[in-house]
Amino acid sequence: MSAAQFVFALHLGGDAPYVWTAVGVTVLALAIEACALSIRGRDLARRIDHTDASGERR
Amino acid sequence: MNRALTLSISPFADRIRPPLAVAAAVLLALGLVLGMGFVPEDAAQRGSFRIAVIHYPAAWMSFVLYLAAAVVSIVTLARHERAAAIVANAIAPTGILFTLIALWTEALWRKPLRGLWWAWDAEAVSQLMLMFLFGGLVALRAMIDDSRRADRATALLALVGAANLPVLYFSIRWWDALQRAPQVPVPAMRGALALATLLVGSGFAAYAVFAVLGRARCAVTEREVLARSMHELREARS
Repeated sequence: MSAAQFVFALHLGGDAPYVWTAVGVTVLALAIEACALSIRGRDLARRIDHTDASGERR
Repeated sequence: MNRALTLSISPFADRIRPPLAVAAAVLLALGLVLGMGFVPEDAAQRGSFRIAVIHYPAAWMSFVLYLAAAVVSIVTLARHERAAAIVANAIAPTGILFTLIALWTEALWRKPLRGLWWAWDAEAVSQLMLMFLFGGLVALRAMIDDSRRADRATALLALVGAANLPVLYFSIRWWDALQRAPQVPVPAMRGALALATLLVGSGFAAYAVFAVLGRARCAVTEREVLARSMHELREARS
């Protein structure tokens, strides 16, 4: 079964926009939170690498 | 000072985060493909009942996360554990995310069936209350500058909110007998629908642990950055 056939075989009828909006928003929300956490973690790691444990700038 | 210990809740937490992210992605992908592609259409609800595959796990997850925040808050208050306070604070934003997903998917499920985005039924109202409780934890934490006082205050609020959880849970049954709002019918959980819901639920659980540990790690690092900045400031003044 090709990808296009798979998509058309979903039998979602007239409710398809609601179902796919639910799927899309959920996946997007989780992905955005995961990316935001990753970016924040990297930023903080970069900031902490600029100072050593005694507070001296490297 | 041991940097590895300073910048994370525990080395084990750092090790399990990447496998958790992979597990969450795989379980969610499998659950969504199974739920959207292979669950047979319901005669009464057509395709929209497939939203249950996302809605129920998100609603359960928000309850479980609040319960986890309450349990960790007991540890914070009883043992003055700073790590526990950090984890409790890290749970709240992910809890808000899951309550929002539960509310949003319920609206998308209800609209094609009943023509309404919102109805004052027990499940929707209890999810909304839960979102306000999570929001209250985040707001209270942000309002208090002293981190130790903020930890204690948010732990207390989490416990007060936890007393509300059984009421929220049982209100769904009580309300069912009284309500007149257009309800979304509950589909029978069996076969592919049950398996897809279980897969998405497991994916959400793996994601929640991944996100909470990541946020806790950020919080620990943030406190360290602040401590070093203060140290620098004191050095510069003296």
